[in-house]
Amino acid sequence: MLLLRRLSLVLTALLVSGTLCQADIFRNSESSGSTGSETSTSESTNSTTTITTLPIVTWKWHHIETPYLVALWVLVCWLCKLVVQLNTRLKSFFPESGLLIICGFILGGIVWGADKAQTFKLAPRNFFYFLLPQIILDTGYFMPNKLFFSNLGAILVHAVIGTVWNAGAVGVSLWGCYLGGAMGDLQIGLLQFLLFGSLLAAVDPVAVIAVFEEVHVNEVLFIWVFGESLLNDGVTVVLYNVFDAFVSLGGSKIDAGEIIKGIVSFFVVSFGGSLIGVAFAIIISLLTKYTGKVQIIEAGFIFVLGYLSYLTAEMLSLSAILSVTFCGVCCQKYVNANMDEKSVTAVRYAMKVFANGSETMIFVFLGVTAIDSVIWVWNTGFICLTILFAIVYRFIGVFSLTWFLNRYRLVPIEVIDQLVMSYGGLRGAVAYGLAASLDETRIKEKNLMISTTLIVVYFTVVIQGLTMKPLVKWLKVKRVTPSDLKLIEKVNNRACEHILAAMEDISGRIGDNWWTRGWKRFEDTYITWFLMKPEARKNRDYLFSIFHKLNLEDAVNYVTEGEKRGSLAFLRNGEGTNVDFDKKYGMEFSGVMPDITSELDFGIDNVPVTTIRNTVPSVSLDIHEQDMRGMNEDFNAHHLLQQHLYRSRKNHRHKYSRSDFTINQSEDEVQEIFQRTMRNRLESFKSAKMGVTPVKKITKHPKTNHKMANGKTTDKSYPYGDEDFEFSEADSAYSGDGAAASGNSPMRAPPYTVGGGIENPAFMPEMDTPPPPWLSEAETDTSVAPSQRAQRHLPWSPNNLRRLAPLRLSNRSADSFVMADVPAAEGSEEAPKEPSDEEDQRDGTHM
Amino acid sequence: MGAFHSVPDDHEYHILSEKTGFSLEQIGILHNRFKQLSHNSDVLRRNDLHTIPDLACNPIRSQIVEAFFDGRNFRKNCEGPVQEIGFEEFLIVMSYFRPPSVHMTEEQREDIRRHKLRFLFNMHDTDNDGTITLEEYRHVVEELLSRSGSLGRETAKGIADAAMLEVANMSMGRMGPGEVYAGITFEHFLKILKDIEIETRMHIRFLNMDTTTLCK
Repeated sequence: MLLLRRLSLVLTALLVSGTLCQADIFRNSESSGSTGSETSTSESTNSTTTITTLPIVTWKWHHIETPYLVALWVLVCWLCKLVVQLNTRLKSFFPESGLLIICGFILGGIVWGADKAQTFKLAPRNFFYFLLPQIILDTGYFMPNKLFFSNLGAILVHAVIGTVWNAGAVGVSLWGCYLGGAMGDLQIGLLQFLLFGSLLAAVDPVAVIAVFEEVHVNEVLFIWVFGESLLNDGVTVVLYNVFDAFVSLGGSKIDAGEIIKGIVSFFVVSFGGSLIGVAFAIIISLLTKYTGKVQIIEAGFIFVLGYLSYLTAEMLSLSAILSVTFCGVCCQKYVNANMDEKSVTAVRYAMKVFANGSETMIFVFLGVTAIDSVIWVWNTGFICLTILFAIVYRFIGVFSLTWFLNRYRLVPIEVIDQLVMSYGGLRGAVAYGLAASLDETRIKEKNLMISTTLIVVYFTVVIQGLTMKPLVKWLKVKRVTPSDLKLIEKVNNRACEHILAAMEDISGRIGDNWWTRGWKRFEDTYITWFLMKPEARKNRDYLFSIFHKLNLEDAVNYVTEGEKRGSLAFLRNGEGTNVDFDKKYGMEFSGVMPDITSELDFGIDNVPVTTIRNTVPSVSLDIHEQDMRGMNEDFNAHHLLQQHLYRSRKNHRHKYSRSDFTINQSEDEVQEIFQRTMRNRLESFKSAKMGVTPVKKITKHPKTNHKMANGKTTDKSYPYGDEDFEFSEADSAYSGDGAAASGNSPMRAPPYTVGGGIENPAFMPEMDTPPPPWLSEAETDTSVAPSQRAQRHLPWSPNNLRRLAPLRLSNRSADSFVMADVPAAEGSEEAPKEPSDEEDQRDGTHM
Repeated sequence: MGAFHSVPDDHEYHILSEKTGFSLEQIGILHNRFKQLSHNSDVLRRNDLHTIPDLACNPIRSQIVEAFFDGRNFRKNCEGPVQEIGFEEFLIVMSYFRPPSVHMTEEQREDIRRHKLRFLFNMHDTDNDGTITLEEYRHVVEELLSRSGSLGRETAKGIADAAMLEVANMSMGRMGPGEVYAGITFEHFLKILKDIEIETRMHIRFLNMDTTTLCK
């Protein structure tokens, strides 16, 4: 079955590429112009001929040719990735990048077969302006900052000195071999060799990431390789430009002055580029302080400004790669704090989409480019020696630099790690891009250089990439288990930092921790004040964010559990809890809560509340909501909401399990549940943990068993009693709801029958929830809806609510009173947004 | 510099060096610092450490200072808090933060690891009963968050609770419904933090150069 699907996919890919070939023929015959119209062009020229009668449909290939081809290629490349990913067995030992290149070979072969010439290749311009920036921005934006900056020294040493060494050594050695006669007759001088060496020196971040991400080496090794590859791209480009200038100057005109100028320009270009990046990072951060009003396009600013930083640096002939790298690195923290969580998620996903997409395209096109008879100039000596030198000097460079760095490190880098680091010197598309942009008039052997570069790229990406995993295994390189840190570990890490800083203080020395802390203090007082929203400043504590993530995760598990049992009833419990949360984390969530509330109320009451809604601070959120709904305003919004709730949660569940950047998922729904349930969870945990509530413990037993029988969630199970207890509460609620759904009046279900304990007020409201409509979803919604509406309308009144919320807040223990009003609490959820919001604020101050 | 390099100290330094693993220069520097902190007396009191200005904004200052006056950390058979410590105790506590040597056997590494974690554990376990109870852990988290201002005690509690719940899940497996998790024992503590390479993390660089004059 799977095979079938795979085959069909391959088929599709081939089909599409077939279409492309067709398109090619069109284009070629068209571009050849005067060679006469073939059968195919007769149609395509149709549109240009004078019309005699009104054409109903015309064939307008030329209008859309370029964008159409681009889009098709994008599609084909991505389909390649899909095919590769579906091949789990092949993927398990073969690096994806290598497979993509091979796909490229095949596609290129098809094009070649159709065209008898190379029609598509990776043009340097497209590569540098349209494919590379987003990848670099992505790596910068997701850079583990702390790790990066704490290793910045080592990374810089490797990136700058290592690269210069590589470029120089490879160039000079090749030149030496050339003089020695190893390559026969070539028109290359020393400068050209150095130029070639410099373009080959770049370790490619794209290739490195692609390989190392699958290997999971330890974090120091990773950041060294990764950081180096990222920064040395910039260095290489700078070096390349310097040598390029030297080549065009010609050997005779180069004197000491020019060389010094070259060195100066090297530093100016790299630091200038980095500064531009930092400047743009500041602009982005400042902007996001105010973009809350245009939340929908908020995320776009990051991309536009990031791209602009790239282009600006390019315009000033500074290092564009470094610029966009530092832009991403510097802005991430402030951007994430300033923007709404939705936008943050949007940025994260969009960033990944762009980066992954163009990475895929780069690899595929590296393959496609190879299928060309023009560029292939074979020179065994030159090619073999280049590969040899590139690898050997990489090893020498890494080992000697690490030896030097190890003298200053408390924990030295081990030999094995150095080996892997050297071996990870994969060359990639940057090298090719630079080679392809060589000037043929000045460098006679351009094609030889391109073909050699391509071979080096294939060799490193495919062969080294292929052997990397076995090597890492065989050498027993320290690896990290790709799991998230546990909360206690994070707390511990944080404590550790403080302890170390304190120890330095006590021992009376100025050390790394002293600097870090000094910077932190400076940052806290000035930079965050300048770049962060005041509300964001409050909420950006590291531990809190962890806690938040953890809670979200729990909430999702909770929901999953609930859905498994077919009920979302527990969603509706504990109004008091979310008020509580709103009070505490005011800014962070209040933007979310009102949104949902207003939505709800809009649907349920069908009251024209637009006047109120216009004054809502999160107007743009509403627009957003409408976007999601596809503008189907006249639908029963209540029904829609339920569908929306349901579907999106389902959709997001598996995204959750995906690895890296999904952690900070910010689904409205999830947040809502999170707010409502976490309090309960902790309450229950606390009370049971402290052994305060024996009553509960007694009631717990049967339910727990019942629950086990129900089949608990497997992936993140909470075998601990309290958790069970908590779920069991939901369970009981469920059963209550089930009864309710079967026709009894649900509203007045006696609150005290289940659970038995009144210690835990947060759980009580769920007994009183009206039957969740989705329970009876099988029946038509419309038939049920009116009655529900009626039910909900009955107790609701704004005054009631206003009085109620603070009560629930402060009088936790007196919930028996509150319980009587639960329908009203229910109403409060659906109440017009304005009062509740106001309520929240009032609570905040009141508390 | 000359004052503490006097001849009678030299022999003592050698003993201390063997005991703690510090080099003689480092001991000299630390001794200098010790005197500076204790205002040239032989013993150090809590108040001396509390008044270090650089320490003022450290959220868990009190715990750290307490660790210096905790009998369990002296590698002698004494327990419970003490009122004042001499230079030797000061050095011993400091030696928990020595960087690991380059060549270590696996056993040594494990040993160092245990020591360092023990130190951390003792810092958490304030009442010295061998377990970190929820209360104790909460206290630590609260202290940790106390300087960040934005988070109230409630959140600290929440975090501590969630962390504790995790630990309970991990270390006890599936607990019976009536069981109550008493607290983190040292064994659990070791197990939980086994992924953190504490031996490569928990250290500071002790210079062979005197920078005490630079510090307040």
